[in-house]
Amino acid sequence: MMTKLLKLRVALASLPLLGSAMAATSVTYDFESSTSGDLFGGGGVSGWSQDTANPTAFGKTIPLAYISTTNFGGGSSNAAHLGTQFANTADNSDTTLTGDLSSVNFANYLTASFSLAILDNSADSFEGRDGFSVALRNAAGQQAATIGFTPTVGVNESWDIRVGTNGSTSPTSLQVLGLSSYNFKIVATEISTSFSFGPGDLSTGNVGILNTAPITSLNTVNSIVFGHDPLADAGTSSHTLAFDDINVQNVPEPSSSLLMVLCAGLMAIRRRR
Amino acid sequence: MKFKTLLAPLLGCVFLGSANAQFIDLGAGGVKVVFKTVDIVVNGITFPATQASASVMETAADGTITAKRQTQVQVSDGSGGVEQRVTQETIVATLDTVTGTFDVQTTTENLTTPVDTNGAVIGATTTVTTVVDDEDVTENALDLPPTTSFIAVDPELDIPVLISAE
Repeated sequence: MMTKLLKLRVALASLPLLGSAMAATSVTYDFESSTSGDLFGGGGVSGWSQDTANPTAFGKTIPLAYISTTNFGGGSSNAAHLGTQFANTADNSDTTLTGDLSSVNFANYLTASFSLAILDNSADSFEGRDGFSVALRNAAGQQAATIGFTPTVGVNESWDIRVGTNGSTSPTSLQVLGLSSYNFKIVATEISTSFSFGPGDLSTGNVGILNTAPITSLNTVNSIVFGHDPLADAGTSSHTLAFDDINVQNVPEPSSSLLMVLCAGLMAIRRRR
Repeated sequence: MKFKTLLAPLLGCVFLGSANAQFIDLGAGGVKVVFKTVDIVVNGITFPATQASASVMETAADGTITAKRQTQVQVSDGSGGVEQRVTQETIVATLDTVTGTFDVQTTTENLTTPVDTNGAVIGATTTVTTVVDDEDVTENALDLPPTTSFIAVDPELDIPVLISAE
C-alpha cells in the first residue's frame, strides 16, 4: 500500500516536469522542402509571409525574396534570399519576411540560431548598399530582439553589426564581411539576452557580441523577421541577405520540476519510515 | 564628319499581347530590373508612375557593341483609360578599325497597349519604330545605356575567422 502511495506521489510530482517536457518545442526552417526558385511572395514558402508584393514588368514577376542554393559551410542546400539582386521597390520601401514561431511557447527561455550571409558583388555596376536586419517579434508586432546590419562607411565589403532588445539597438565594434558565412545565436532568459556569432561552418565557437537587457514579455515572441532596408537610391543596389537553418527553441528550465520530484520523493520516504 | 539620318517612322505594326517579352531574356537570371518612380506628362498633366527598366550590352570579337534597353511604364492615356508603354531600344555600334570610331544605329520601338487598372491587356498594341544612324562616333561619345546585368555571386561562401572583441 505504501509503495503504491509512494509511486502515486512521485507520479503527481512529476506532472510539472512532464508538462514542461511536452511544452518544450522548437521550430526549424531549413527550406529543404522548397525548390530553388520558389518565391516567398504569395505564400510560396511554407510558414513564411512577405509583406511587400513582388513587382512585375515585361510579363514577369521579379522576386524580392526567393529560394536559391547556397553553401554556408555544411554543403550546398536551399537557402532564403532577400534583397535587390533581381528587383527593387520603386519607392524604396522595406521588405520583410516573417517566419511563424507561434507553435513554440516561450515561457522563460529562448534560443535562436541561424546561418546568415550578405551576398554582394562589389565589382558589379550596382554600387549602392542597403541595410538588413533579423528580429524576434512579439504578438504586438514589436521587435523583442534585433540584429541589424548597416553598411560600414568607407568599406564596401563590410556591414556593421547592431544589436539590442525591446525595439532598440546599439552599435557594436563588430562587422560581417560580404560573401562570408556566419552563424548567429540569440539566447534570451528572464535575466538577460546574449547575442553571439561565429563562422557558418561552426568550425569554432561563437564570439560574444553583447549581453544586454532581457526581452520584455518573452512569452509573447511569436515570429522571426528578416528585413531589407533600402538605404541606397532606388535601383542602385543589387545584393541579398541569405539565411538558412533557422532553429528557435524553448528549452524549459527543468530544475524547479526536478526539485519538486526530489522533495516529494524525500517526503514519501520519510513518511514511510 | 558626323551626321544623323532619321529613317521614316514605321507605323501600324499592330499585334496583341506581349510578343516582345523576350527582347531581353530576364529568365536567364543575370539581369536586374530597376524600378523607379518617374513623372510622365500626358496632355500637359504630370502623372507619377512606376517605370521598370533593364539593359544589357555585349561586345563581339570584332569590336561591335550591341546594347539593348527596355523600359515599361503604365500611365493614364489622357482620356480616362490606362495604357502600358514599352520602349525597346537596340544600339549597334560597329567599329571602324581604320578610324577607331563607330557607326551607330539606334532602333527604337515604342509599343503602346491599352490595359485595365490591373495591367491586363484590353486592346491592340500599336508599335512605332524609329531608326537613327550616327557615323564617326568616338568611343567616349557612344552614350550607351548603363547595363543592369550582373555576375551572380559564388554560392560557395567564405568562412571568416572571428576574433573576440572582448
